[in-house]
This record gives sequence, structure tokens and C-alpha cells, in this order.
Amino acid sequence: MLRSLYLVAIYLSFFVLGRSAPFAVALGYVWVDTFNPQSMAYLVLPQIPVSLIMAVATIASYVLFERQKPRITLTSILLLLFAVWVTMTTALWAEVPDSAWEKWNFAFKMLCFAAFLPLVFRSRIQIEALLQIYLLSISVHFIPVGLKTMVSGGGYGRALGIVAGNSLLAEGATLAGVSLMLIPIILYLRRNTLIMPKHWAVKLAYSGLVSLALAAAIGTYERTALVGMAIVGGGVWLRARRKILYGALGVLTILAVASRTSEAWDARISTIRHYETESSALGRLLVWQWTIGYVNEHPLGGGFNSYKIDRISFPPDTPGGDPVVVNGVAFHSIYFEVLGEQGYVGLGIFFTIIFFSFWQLHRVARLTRNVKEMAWAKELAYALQVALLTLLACGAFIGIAFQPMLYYLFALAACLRAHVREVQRLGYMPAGARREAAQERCSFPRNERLSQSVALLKR
Amino acid sequence: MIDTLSIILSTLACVFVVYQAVRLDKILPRFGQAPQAPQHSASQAWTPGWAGPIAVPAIDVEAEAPPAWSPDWN
Repeated sequence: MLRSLYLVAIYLSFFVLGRSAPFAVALGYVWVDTFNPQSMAYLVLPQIPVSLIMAVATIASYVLFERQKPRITLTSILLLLFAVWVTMTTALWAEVPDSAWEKWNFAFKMLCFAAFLPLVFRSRIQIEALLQIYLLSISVHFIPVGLKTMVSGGGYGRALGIVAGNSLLAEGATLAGVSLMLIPIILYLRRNTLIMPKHWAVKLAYSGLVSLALAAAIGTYERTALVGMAIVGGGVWLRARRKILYGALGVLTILAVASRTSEAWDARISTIRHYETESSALGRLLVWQWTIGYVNEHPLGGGFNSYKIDRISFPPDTPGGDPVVVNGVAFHSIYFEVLGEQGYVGLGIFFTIIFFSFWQLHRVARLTRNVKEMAWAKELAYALQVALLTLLACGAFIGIAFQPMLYYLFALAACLRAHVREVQRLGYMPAGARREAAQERCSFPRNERLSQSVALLKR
Repeated sequence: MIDTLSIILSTLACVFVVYQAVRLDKILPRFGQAPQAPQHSASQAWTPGWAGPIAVPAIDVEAEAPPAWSPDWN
């Protein structure tokens, strides 16, 4: 009862705080989407459409209060194109129409909202607020798992999270991948936050979050976590200034994990080596094989949840026995999920969004590398690249192609690129090799430049 | 216990972030050193967002300035 009322108060606070700031209401939607207060409250919130109300409020707030010219990004266009394509596959040739429409319902909304985010989050503060809210909302899912792992050890399939079940962040592999993906973002915020006070306690809290994210990933006993740890460790090390120190810390962490983890963890992780006989790994390989065969016959895909029509034949348990046939084995990979459901066209759009996001982040890092005032943007671009790479690597073994995590990263990349472009347009960021050319372009006196900037902002 | 503590800490931090972000967004420049476009204030009549930035009346610096100091010989 008390928890429900408390969560209602938090939910309402987003409306109050964001009464004239559209981005604050949009933060409320991100909170609802990630934190899932309706799954934690017992009264009121589970009975009302919390997401719908927040989405309507976000759009209304944007239309009524946003005074800047809308900014259309290529990422938004690609996301909307993807939304149109998934609607077509669902409406015209879905193999399991009822199930497909169910998945379409949240996938379509999620794609549209991700396309909408770059319109709202435009300044450094707004982009950081989006990162902070996303991190804090997910932290409610990995903090308990991390703490419980530290206290009593984790376990494969054990419900240590705040929400029961085997979907979204309650699912071990997804939680492991998302927790690890957040590590570079936490490290970025630790160094560059403007919103949180500059205090040693805040830095300590961020360091604690890194430890808890790592502990949560290990505590799930998921093999995906090992893949994620390798990517995030390598990515953070490559971008670190003190490579020897971080390298030594990394080696120490690996040794500590290896010595502290239980035999059960070692046994679970070592199944990676026996993928041909281990049923879960073998199931993945067989369903991926089926998917390739299916799309060769149906190049446009089979619509959402088309895996439900598959018949996977496992080798017999005993020599000479009958093969075990299982119906409806899930894709367990974002790439095969998109391929099987949306066909080659959908996979093409999906890869274009991924490639374009990396390209945007690369451009931001390149343009801001010699500009002291924009050093934060360079660091954020690196952090988002590592985060995206981690999630894409973990996603190779989990079916989260239409979960919001990836799309928030795509939207963040678009927001950051658009912000840097705006700063460039205003002539405040002559960068790298183009410094002289940019200075020539902006060689008029400083006060004149300021008045031009104001005029541009007013447009 | 751990679950409840996580919910409380996470949500309070979220509210703090939103409060601080809204406050800082009004103070800090949005793009580089450029001043932010004027936003709606309580003293002005509301206009819809699509109408663009609120016009700020130009300040006549000379008229608003205090009279120049001159020595009072008397």
C-alpha cells in the first residue's frame, strides 16, 4: 500500500516538474518505460495506462511548450521507416497474426518514441538528464541482484531481481547484457556530470554502481555476461588514458572473479566449450539454421513471433533413440530475430540504423577531439560506442531486438550528433583539421557572431 | 529490504535529476556560448510552442541608464 502510494507520488512528480519543460515529461516516459512502476506497485498504477498517459503528456507538452524549430535526424527517419516496415509485415504476411499484433503493439510505440527523442533532448543538460534517468531506472533492477550476489552468491535462473518472471530485465541474460552496457555510461557520468553535485560521495556512488553492475552480470551465471565483460573490458581499456593501470586492474578483477566464483559458475560458463551437446546452445544453433532456411523461402520475413511455427529436431539423448522435436524455439539472437520476423529488408534497415549510429558517434569524436569545451561530447561518443558494441555483442545471444535498450542508444547517438552539429552551425566549435576553415567562415567580430546565434535560435 | 531500499534510492535520485535538469536547463547556455532562446515566463501571456520564441522587448540602454554623473559645483 505504502509502496504504491509512494510510486504514484513519484509518477506525478514528473508532471509537476515538467509542467513547462517538454524534456522533463519525456524523462517521465523513459522512467515508466524502464523502471516499470506498474509492475512494482500493487494499487493504482497497475490499474491505469501509465505509459499511455505519460506518452500523451510528452507529445502535448512538446507541441505546446517547445519553442525551437523541430530538428529531423536521419536516425528518426530510419526508425520511422522501420516502424512502417514492421507494420507491413504484421498486417500483410504475418505467420501468427494474433501473436504478431501483440508484439507489434509495443514494438511500434517504442520505435516511434525513439524517433521522437531527438526532437526533445537537444542540449548537454537534456542529454545528460536522459542518460541519468535511464541509468537510475535500470539500476533498480541490477542493484538488488548485485547486492544479493555479493552477499550470498548468485545462481542460474534464480529470481534475485525486483520483478519476478522471465521477461525484460527479469531475464538473466538481458539483465547481464544491459548491466554491462551501462558501465561505460556510468564511467562517463562519473567524470562529466553537470547535474549531480561535484562531491567525492557522488564519485564513490558511481564507482559503487560499476561494481554492482559487474556483480549483477556475474550473479546471473549467464554465458552472455562473459561475452559482455570481454567487450566492455576491452572497450574501456582501449579508451582509457592510463592503460597500464587499468590493464593491471582488469587482470586483478579477472583473478578475483576466478578465485571467488563458485564451482557452479565455472561449470555453467564452461558449457560454452560444449556448445554442440549443450541443449540451450545447440537449440540456438538449430533455430538459426532454421531461420536461414525460412527466409530463403520467405525473403520478406514471417512477421513478429514467426518462430512459433518452427519445428526443431534435437539429436536423440541416447544413441539409436528418436530425435526430440520441439516446436516454437525462440530466436535467441537479435540478428536472427529481425531476419526471421522482418526478412532481408528489415535486417537491412536494422543494420543501417546500427551502422549510422556508429558513424554519427565516430563523427562526434572526430569533430570534438581538439576542442576543450566539447571534451565531454568526445567522451560521451566513446562511451556510447562501447555501450552499443557491448549490447550488440550480447544481443547476438538474446532476443531483444524490439526491446527499448538498443533504441535508446540509437536515439542518444542522434541527439549527441545533432547537438554537436548545432554548436558547429553556430560557429563555436572549429574542430581539428577544419579549425582554420571554420575560423575563416566565422571571422566576423564576436558580438556580431553572438547576435547571429541568437537570431538563429529564435528561428 | 534490499528491494525497497533500491526503489527508494533510485526514485529519489530520478526526481533530483529531473529537478536539477529543469533548473540548469534554464540557466546554462544550450549550444556553446550562445545565450538560450527566451522561454515562457509567468509574467507573460502564454502562446503555444509552435508560435516560436517569445519576443523580448528591446531595452533602450540609453533611456534606462541613470543620468551621467556630473560634479555638483554648488
